Amino acid sequence: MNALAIKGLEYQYPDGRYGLRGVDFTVEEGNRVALIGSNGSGKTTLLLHVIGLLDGDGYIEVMGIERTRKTIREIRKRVGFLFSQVEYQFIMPDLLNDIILGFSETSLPRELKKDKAMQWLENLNLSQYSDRSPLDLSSGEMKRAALAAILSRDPDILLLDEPLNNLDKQNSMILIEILRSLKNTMIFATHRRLLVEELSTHIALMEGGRITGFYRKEDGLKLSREKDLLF
Amino acid sequence: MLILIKVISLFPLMVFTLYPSGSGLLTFIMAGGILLALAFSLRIIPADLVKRNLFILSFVFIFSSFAALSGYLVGDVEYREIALTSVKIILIYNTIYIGGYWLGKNGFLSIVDTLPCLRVKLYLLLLYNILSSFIKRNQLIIYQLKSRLNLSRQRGLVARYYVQNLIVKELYSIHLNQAAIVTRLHSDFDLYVPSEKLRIHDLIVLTLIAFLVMGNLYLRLYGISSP
Repeated sequence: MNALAIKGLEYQYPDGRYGLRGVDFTVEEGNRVALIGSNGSGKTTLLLHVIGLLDGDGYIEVMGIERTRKTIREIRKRVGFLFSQVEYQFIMPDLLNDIILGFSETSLPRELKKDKAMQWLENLNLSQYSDRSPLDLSSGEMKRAALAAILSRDPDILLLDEPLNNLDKQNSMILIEILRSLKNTMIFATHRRLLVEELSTHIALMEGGRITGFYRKEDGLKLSREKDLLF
Repeated sequence: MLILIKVISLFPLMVFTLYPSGSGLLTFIMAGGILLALAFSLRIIPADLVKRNLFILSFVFIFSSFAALSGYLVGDVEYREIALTSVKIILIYNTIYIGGYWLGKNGFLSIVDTLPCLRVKLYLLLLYNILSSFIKRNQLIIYQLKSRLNLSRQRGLVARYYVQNLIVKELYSIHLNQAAIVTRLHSDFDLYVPSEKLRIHDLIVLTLIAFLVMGNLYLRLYGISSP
């Protein structure tokens, strides 16, 4: 089954520039696709369309559900989005309540929600910060906290926008290990070779608002163009 | 429950500070004492307390100067009224500041959790987030301006660009916060607020507030009102 299917997606920014120029893109369930391309090639714009934060012309289907105004809420429930600037992703004043937000649609008692949230924090080695503001955490911790918050909702697809932004190698590896342990379908925009090599199963190349190549990781990494885009 | 009692107790403190029975002198002294005791028990650093009060003191100074000036122009300066209003402003400001400190984050969450409207809840949470991240961003803007402007020659530009930067950055952060809500929040939510234990300083402050309330009510019941 396709986790994501996009056909002929076009998007024009309000100033008239084209962000996407007819994207055709399919991701099978369970795949981890690295979306690579130079700055301004449309990677983030494409991810924002999947979650419905931008609304261009074209066909988008997520987990078998066609994206329309009526279905966008259902799709958002099934997709977790990690912002590149994660500090803006937190809604609650403390980490524990931000994770609990992921259980807002369940009818569990509060104590049970709290226990489940603490479990997530322990899984990501953040339990000691449960009552702290997410904004007081370091970049690596903040990234893991934001990931815990979206994973607590148990999404089918994870969209990650530059997940290794501001992270050193040690914290990058910690995050990659966590992501590798997950079974979710993932699409991540990145420029980092480490992430592509360690996490992806496939590579999609974006150029000028189009997907111009889609390869298995091993094949993609051999191509010189792809090599130039990663560091 | 304790948080609720704390919230409820702050209201009569503010109401009787604004509308004291009798001359108000005793109420003001007592309210000031309660606030100082609270600040001391919460270990608020005196320098911080003074720093936080500088703004309101300067406001009160300007307010009372203008009140005195306009009174002088019409030939009737009400020194007593001006002094009373100034004291009230300072006390109310400190009740909100120190009281907010007393309630803490858990107090804020308890208040938000009791609200029935999702939009109001979200508004308050976002306001809290924006205010708590404001100082960090504010410092970044100052660093950015200092690094890019020649302060000896372009001092005037700092203020101008500071305001522009501040507004643009705040609008950008609100835009991203909105995106976070859209992607992460799909229904109403519960907040987890850990229960608090009653500490001795809470008990002392609550008792003092009760005395203040009873004293004021006693004066009102026996018909003694502000002159």
